[in-house]
Amino acid sequence: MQSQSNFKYESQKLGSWYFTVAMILFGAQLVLGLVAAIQFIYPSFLYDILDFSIARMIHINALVVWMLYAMIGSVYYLLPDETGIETVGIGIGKLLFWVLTLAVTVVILVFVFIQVGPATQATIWLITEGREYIEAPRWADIGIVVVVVGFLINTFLTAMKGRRTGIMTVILSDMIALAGLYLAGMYFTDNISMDQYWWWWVIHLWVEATWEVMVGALAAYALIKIVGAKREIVEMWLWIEVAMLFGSGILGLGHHYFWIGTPEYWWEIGALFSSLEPLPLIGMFIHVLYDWGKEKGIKEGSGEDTTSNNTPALIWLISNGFGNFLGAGVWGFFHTLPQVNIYTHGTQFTAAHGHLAFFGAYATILIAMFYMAVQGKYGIKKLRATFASKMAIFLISFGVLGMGVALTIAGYEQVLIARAQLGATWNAFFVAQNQMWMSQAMDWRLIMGIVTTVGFVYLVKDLLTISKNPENVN
Amino acid sequence: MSGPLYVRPIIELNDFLPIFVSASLILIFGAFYAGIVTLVKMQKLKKLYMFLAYFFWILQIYCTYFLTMKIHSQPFTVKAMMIAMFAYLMVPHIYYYLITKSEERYEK
Amino acid sequence: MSRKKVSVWSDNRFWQRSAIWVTGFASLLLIWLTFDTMGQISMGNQKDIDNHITKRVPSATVINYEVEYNMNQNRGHEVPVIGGDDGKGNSLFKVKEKFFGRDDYTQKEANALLHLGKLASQAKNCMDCHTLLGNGAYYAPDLTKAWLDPAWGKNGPMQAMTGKNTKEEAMAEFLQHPGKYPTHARMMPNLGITPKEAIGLVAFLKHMSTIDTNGFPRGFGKIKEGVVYAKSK
Repeated sequence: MQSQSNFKYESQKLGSWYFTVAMILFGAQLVLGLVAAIQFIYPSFLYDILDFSIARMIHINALVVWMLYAMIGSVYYLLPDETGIETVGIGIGKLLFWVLTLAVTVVILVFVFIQVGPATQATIWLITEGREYIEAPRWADIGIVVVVVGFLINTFLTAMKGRRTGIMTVILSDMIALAGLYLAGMYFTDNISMDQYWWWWVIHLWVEATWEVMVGALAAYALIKIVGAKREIVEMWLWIEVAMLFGSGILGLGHHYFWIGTPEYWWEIGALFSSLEPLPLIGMFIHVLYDWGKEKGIKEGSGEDTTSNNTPALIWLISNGFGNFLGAGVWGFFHTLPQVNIYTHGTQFTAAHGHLAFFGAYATILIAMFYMAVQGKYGIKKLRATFASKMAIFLISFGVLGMGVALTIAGYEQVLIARAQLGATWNAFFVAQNQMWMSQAMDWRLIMGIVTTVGFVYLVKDLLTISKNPENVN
Repeated sequence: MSGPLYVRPIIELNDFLPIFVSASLILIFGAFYAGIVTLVKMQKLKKLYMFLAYFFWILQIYCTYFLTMKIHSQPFTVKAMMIAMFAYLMVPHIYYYLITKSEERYEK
Repeated sequence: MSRKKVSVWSDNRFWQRSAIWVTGFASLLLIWLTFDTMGQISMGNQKDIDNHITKRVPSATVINYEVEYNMNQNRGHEVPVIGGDDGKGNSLFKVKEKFFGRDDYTQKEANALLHLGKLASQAKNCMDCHTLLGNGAYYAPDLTKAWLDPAWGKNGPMQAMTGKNTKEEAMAEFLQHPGKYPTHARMMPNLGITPKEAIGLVAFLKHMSTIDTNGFPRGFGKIKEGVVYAKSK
């Protein structure tokens, strides 16, 4: 994406750099996901070369990092729009981008080629921390913190200098919380209960609190930009969403503290607050639909063209509302109550929920941001969906939903056989793995993973070429 | 002090599927209820459809009750859930009230 | 702004303040609960064992004791029972058990073993195939109570497979050469685990099995069909 650019601000260009790397990491996530999916069916595939543990580690780390890249990119992208001025330290911002990208590259190369180390602190510092989702070694942790602090100072100073909007206030405070929480994941203890207690502070308070608020803020921005909703109303809803998301999400942390050695009172706290967690998601979904319908109605009334100014982004935004509710809400709720969770915790149910929620809640809105950046870059007034845009959204959504359903069936079989009937031993685990329902579910997961990947190829093609579509040439 | 502090009854094998399905339906019916109320308020649907919305709300209550029974919830929890369901009856109305209020204020 | 009557419910500042209050309140509650939980899950020491105090996360010196997973009458679910059962599912802290030939590990020695094992569990990315306390990946069995798995016990097939005479030696042997002892087409990779690291890892697993996980996993090792070793395809 280096050709002629219509970006008014360097900050938007920097945002698009972040988006480009995010897409590359998204691709890496899918490829390594396919490797891991193949290993479920043919366990000897790449055995002792690129084991499941490594493939799966890169699969989930690439996911986390691409989403963080896309979030940082989104902030740089909307910053000048919101504040009305160029980002103050744009030079430093660009430098930090290269530092971060270099660090991420080194970390991935070490993951692929060195993989594991001896049981020493040096391994934790240089190779892997071995804690799911945040395996990045300690040196990279510190590097990430430095880069993120730089990013925060940059956005903070810009927001102080320029116009201050509600969306900007939410994003800034949310980003500070998001960065601060990362520190909870940076220490070593021999006590595994303590370890997991703080580890969940990062994982849960990211994905079920701060990231969700980020989504709310991005959706608010997108509603103003592509639907033409009124800022005051959107911002009021954003504050209500913040109250509901943090009100339920922060203590919803309790649902991770049922079985890790923590006291029983977390059963009640976790059950109560995680039952409330779907409420803001329903609210967000209804809100997006309402605003879209209302603005369309207003345009119809005044005889204007009712199509949105960025159809692909709008489709992804609506699928965000739906996917967030389905993946995070429905798939989260049905195994969250402790009475049920004692059977479902640590089965493929969690994997099903993970796939659907990360896609529905985050991937969708971030892809909408990619399309908005493409529109901004080429200065297109009305960005219309092409055949590739439609194929991308259809294949990716269908593929991820298919994987989610396959994994749900596998999880259900595991709950019944490995947990309820056989009591979770080594043997119980493999008896359940050998069942037809499990192996067929794994076949379907791989097929649906391939469908998703084909959709991704369409997405890349579309992002690169949509500006050349005759309908979109101004 | 006698008797166990906490009772964690074993779930019957045949109860797992109904539990997962009813838990999902609680949210799905809940979304239908809120969605239909919103569409009616937006005048995209006729007023008559409000009956359908309340019908989904009743189904939702039934699913919640069914779920709490199947997972052997304590009587207190069952009561708390039922109160929560009545609170949910108000939610879309509150939403719409807020929307009208904010539009009165900010439009034009 | 015009002077028309406006409702507080449509006031941006009202909702902004509500959001701040709700977030602040939830955060404070979480911090308060965290302090309480920290106290309850801090690791015990040998003195607690000597005084028969049951800790949720007991001292590393539990490796000197026999460990079981029994129904506790007060709690209504299984709990780890250390050093013998009083008949109601409470620990007696009496019955010792040899761990690699010794049952007199000092606090310092036991801590060092646990430290080595925990480090190894991270350095080898255990969590990216297995689940620990139910968290991790779902490619390989849960290790929360692996120490208590009858398959590793006296007449268990896993112990027999490695040709060792004790549970801990069998586990250590398996960890060092997983490729030699396939239990399924899905094999554990060779991770270069040294003999010392293997001992540390087994100590880590034994200690983890003594953590009070509120009855998770339910019925572990209690169901006959679940512990018979099925020769897999």
